[in-house]
Amino acid sequence: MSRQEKSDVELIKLVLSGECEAYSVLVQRYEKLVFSFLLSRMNSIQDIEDVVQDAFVKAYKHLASFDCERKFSAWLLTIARNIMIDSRRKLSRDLPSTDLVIDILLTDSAKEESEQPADILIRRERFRKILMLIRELPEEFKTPFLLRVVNEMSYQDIADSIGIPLQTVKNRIFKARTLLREKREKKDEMPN
Amino acid sequence: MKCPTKEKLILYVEALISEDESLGNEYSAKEFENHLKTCKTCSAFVNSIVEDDKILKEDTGKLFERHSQASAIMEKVRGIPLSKESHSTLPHEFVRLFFKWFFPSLAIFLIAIMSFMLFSSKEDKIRKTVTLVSLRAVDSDSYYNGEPFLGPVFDKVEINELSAFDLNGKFRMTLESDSLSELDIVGSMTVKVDTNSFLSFEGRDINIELITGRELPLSVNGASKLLNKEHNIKIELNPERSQVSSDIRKIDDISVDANVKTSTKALIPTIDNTLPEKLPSYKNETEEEKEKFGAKLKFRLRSLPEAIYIKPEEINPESVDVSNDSSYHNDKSALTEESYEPFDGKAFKYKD
Repeated sequence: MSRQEKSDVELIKLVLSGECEAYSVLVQRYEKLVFSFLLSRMNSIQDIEDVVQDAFVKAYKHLASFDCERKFSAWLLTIARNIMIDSRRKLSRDLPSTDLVIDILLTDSAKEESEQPADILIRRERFRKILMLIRELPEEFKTPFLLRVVNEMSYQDIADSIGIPLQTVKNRIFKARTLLREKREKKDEMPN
Repeated sequence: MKCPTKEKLILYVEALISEDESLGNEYSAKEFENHLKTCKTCSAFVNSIVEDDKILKEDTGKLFERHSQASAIMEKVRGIPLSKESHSTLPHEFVRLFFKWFFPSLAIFLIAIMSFMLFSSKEDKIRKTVTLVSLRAVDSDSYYNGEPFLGPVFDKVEINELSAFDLNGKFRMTLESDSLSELDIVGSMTVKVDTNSFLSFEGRDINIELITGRELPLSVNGASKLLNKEHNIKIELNPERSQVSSDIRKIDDISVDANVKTSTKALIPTIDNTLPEKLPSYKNETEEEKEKFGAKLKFRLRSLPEAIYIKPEEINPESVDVSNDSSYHNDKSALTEESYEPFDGKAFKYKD
């Protein structure tokens, strides 16, 4: 069995037995999860990068104390959340999202090659708007929704990852979508 | 098919993402698809959501790829020595479960023990120790099982021989154990003795008062009660420690709790305005003289009692003479009505 096929707990055991490189599989498996979690909460892409790094490093340092009965993803998100709160406190960077907007505008669009420059700009602006709307959602709705859409996780996997009941996941995603629609319609109705 | 609500369209979109994860939409996917083919409004709404999801997913993916920290993370962790703490799920699990369950279990155990001690010990004690029960009607308008009684109803009956009986009026009950307890019972009630020798009282206007002895657990109309002694006047017949509580201003009744040195039993005679010729629990130990109201009352004890309790009730003795074979005497003039206002602590001082 390759490392990629191993479960989280098996990989953790490998790391703890000295196979440091097994940790890279966990990083590959969950980095996007942590990234999207932070994307809806932090304003600076640089801060997001720092928190992602710090979260994985901290998790690695304390791997021996990880409770194998828990989900590694849930534990990792808890660490990331705590680091994010600490960094906000220390840096007081919860300012308007200038950096993030720039990053989004610099992002290569998935259809960049086939689309006209005007379409690319429209798409980037739409992405920015979606992201801003998600950031306005209540905290408890953000993570299930992003895990569902960005990480394409099943309801059950989301429930397991963040440790909430299955039906709660379904309700929160539905509520997130409803709120996003309402917010979007309101903004569309507003004159520029 | 009419246009579904936006909420139903959202449910349809969610179901589209994974068909086996239906959110309970009442329309089938086929019905939606047919409707969306013909309805531009609903179609635009659904497409907008699907398109937003797609952009969010793809562009976040792109953003993530540009800012992935995987290499940096691995570079950092390679230089970090892992904690020496051995990772074994079994001990860790054991420790976790131990701390998860040990303290709650310990707390529950201790609460159970304490509850047992608190709620059971006194009852158990009284169940184990109460052996004999005496009952006396102290009012001429008292009824035992519907029959009028005055004076002793039963005397020193084994508690296990008693079952249920009805009382109506005013009674005094004596419970003998390693010590004696005496209760005044007023009202109309049924008294039951359960298999554990535990007394329960059921009825209206029940008034039960512990006259002498230690506190007693009882059941009154289904509720557990702890009967306490209140407003007794305690006179210790020790010349060195003679004292009287002065918070009762009028003596109406006198009861004596005498722990006779020659016996392990305590004896509690009761004197009131219907004073019987012989007090059931005291007849072999005392002689009483009684005159009309205000007359002299005299006890003769075979040995020096340790204490006397006096409880006011309905008579006003002019004086009480307490003595024993050792020729200890109280001051005969002490218990006049005047002497109780305030009660003079020296009233019962013994003389040779």
